[in-house]
Amino acid sequence: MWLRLFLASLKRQKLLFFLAFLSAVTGTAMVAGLIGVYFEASANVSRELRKYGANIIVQPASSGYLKEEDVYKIKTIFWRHNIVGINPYLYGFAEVKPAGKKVLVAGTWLKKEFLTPEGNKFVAGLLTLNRGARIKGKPFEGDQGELAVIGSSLAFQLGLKPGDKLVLSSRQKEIEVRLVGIIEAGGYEDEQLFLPLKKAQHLFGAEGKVSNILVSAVTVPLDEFGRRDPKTMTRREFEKWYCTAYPPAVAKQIEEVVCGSSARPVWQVVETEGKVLSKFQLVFLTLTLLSLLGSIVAVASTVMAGMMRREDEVALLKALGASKRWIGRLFLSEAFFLGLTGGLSGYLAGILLADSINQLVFGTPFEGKTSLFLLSLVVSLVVNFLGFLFPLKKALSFEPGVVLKG
Amino acid sequence: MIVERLRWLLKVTFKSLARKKSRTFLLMISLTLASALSTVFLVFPRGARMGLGRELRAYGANLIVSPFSQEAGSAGLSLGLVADSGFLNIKALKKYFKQNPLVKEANFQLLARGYYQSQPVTFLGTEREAFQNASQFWKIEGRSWPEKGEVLAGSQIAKRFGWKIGQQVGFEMGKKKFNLKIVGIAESGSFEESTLLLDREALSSWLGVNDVASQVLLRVEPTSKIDFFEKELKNDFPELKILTLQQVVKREENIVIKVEMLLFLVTIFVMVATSISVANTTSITVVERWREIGLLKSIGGSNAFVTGLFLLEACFLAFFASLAGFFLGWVLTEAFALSVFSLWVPFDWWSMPTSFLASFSIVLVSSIWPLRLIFRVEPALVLKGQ
Repeated sequence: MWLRLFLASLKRQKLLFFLAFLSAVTGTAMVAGLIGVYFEASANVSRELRKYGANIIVQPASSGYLKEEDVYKIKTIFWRHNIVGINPYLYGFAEVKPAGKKVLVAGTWLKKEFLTPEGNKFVAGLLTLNRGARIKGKPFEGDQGELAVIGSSLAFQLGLKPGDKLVLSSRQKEIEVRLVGIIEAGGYEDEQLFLPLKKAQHLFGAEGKVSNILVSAVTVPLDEFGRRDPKTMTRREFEKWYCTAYPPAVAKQIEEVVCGSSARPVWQVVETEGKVLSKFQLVFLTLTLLSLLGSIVAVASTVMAGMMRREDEVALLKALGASKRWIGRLFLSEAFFLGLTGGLSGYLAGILLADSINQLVFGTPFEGKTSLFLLSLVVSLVVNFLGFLFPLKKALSFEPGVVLKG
Repeated sequence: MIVERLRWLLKVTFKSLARKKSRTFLLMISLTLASALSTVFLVFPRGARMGLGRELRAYGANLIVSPFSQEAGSAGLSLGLVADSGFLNIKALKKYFKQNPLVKEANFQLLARGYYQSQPVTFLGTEREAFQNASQFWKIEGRSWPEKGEVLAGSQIAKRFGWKIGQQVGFEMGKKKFNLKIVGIAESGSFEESTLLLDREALSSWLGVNDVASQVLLRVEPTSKIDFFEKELKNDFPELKILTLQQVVKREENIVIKVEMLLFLVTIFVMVATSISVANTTSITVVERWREIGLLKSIGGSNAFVTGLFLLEACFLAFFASLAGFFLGWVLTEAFALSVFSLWVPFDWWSMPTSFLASFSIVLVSSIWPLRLIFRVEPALVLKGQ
């Protein structure tokens, strides 16, 4: 009987159900889509911020050099997946012939691919650390070869262009290289001459050594706990600090794998990015909560408007002898049905929307979370129940005779 | 005749709205919230852009002006002094920067080489206000600004020579010898860590120079005008070397573009969802009034007349709901902007009618769309109860 009435009600009031269903789908999609975007937006924004330069600098703890072999170990730390850029440098002065001028030579990787211990490919080097850098001509790849790239400002001063052959002379050695490109990075690089790392080590007699390493790591904004000195922490606090991607925690882990190093966050970059990220999260959370409120009101008002129309139906059922409990169950099962179907469809529409927004803005797919699915269902069910509950309560309080009399 | 007809229409509209108070109230709440939501999404991104722009300023200088090359480093990250510097004329440049509204901050720095126990050390002379701006995110142990006879040591140099806070250290500069007290140790993550920081004027007097600097770190805004500023500066001071820190500029531009794009897409999405929700609620209220429509049609009301009647009602509700929603939305926007960015979204006469009209259009269009249902009402069938 109850099921028959339920199905008959669905069939008879197709338009009303369709509108209520559409409302539930729209509301849930809005909530699921925004929360979905919120879940991943801060990580995406953080990655965007990390496309332009380092936020951790690794230098020798005392004077001297770091070992080149330790550079690769940075991709083995606990937060290895958050390391998005690594670039080692070996600096020295050399005289450029035939120009006859002393220039700053940086031995580095422009683009160097290596395998992490887990077998994943990782591309390190200046061009991945600073995506804004442009090379006219060709970059050298890896760390070998007789090739060189010159900073745009230095190339202008010395009147050099790709294809030119240069002789570089340091206190230790003299080597010959061929210019293959001009780099425009909009920074100090524009006044340096770049050689493959091994070649520079050979030129300066510093085989296997680097002066410093620049690292770009995706980190979380520093809070009070993150700022604390780990030396003052209890063991448990230290574990929590160490396992959170705070910039000093990531720097500490790098320091542990790079022998004789001192790794420090670039505070201005780290703090600015932390603040920008926190504000962004707050902005998005505020807008999401506001949309959640908006969609709750929208769905509830649609359902309420629909229910108001059905006062006669409630009165008739009461007149025919149905108990309040029985009528309540009938209408609330409609609410459950609407909430469930609307929630499921809304979730699907929401992740589609979140995916489109992610792809359009950040160029990354939306990964989705089980919690989002559950949240969508709960929101849809609760809102539909609430929408049904108040008008139903009101309709049940009417005297059937009065309502049926019109 | 027309006035009479209009008066009659208004009377019917008001009566209809007043008769079903709960329905009118529900519609008003729904429409007001939809309008408030539209207003927040239309106005708040402007506040977010302003707030984020202000936060991004903390990245610091985006342009370095110097006589010639003096530092090694990567992009904006300086890795140390590699050549002796020439000098810039502070007076002329300060006057020039003061007149240029694009220059938001100028940090004049003086670099000098000195010796500690025959080991070379670098002194970095700076101005108090500029230093406080630049060092707001550094980790400073001890005092954050050295007075006369005092110096702030970078963490690397302090570590190298084993200096402690409160220690008196003897330095040599040319033929001059002097003692300075270390009052603080600073960690910046950049080249300042390997320098001794002190007041620029104190350093100038030891060097025997006046009103000169080795370099000036500039903050130019908006970043979109940085190329224009660089050209202008090159034109007016051709002897200077200007280095735009593209990494800082691009990082800021990229993040602003991404956040704006994200907010724009979310706004579109919320507007569409809001319109659908408003249309749904209005549709249901039209369906609820099936009998009323049937009766009006049966006593001779044409589709156009009945639609006109409902349209007037929709306009009336949309106008007042948009007005209330607009003010509610504006208050919410200001509250959010104040709590998130501690700023007011400036009120401007252009954005107010635009935001109001946008939210009014959303509410009105979404309310009008369901009115097409009126055409489907067959009076005889409805009055028969089918």
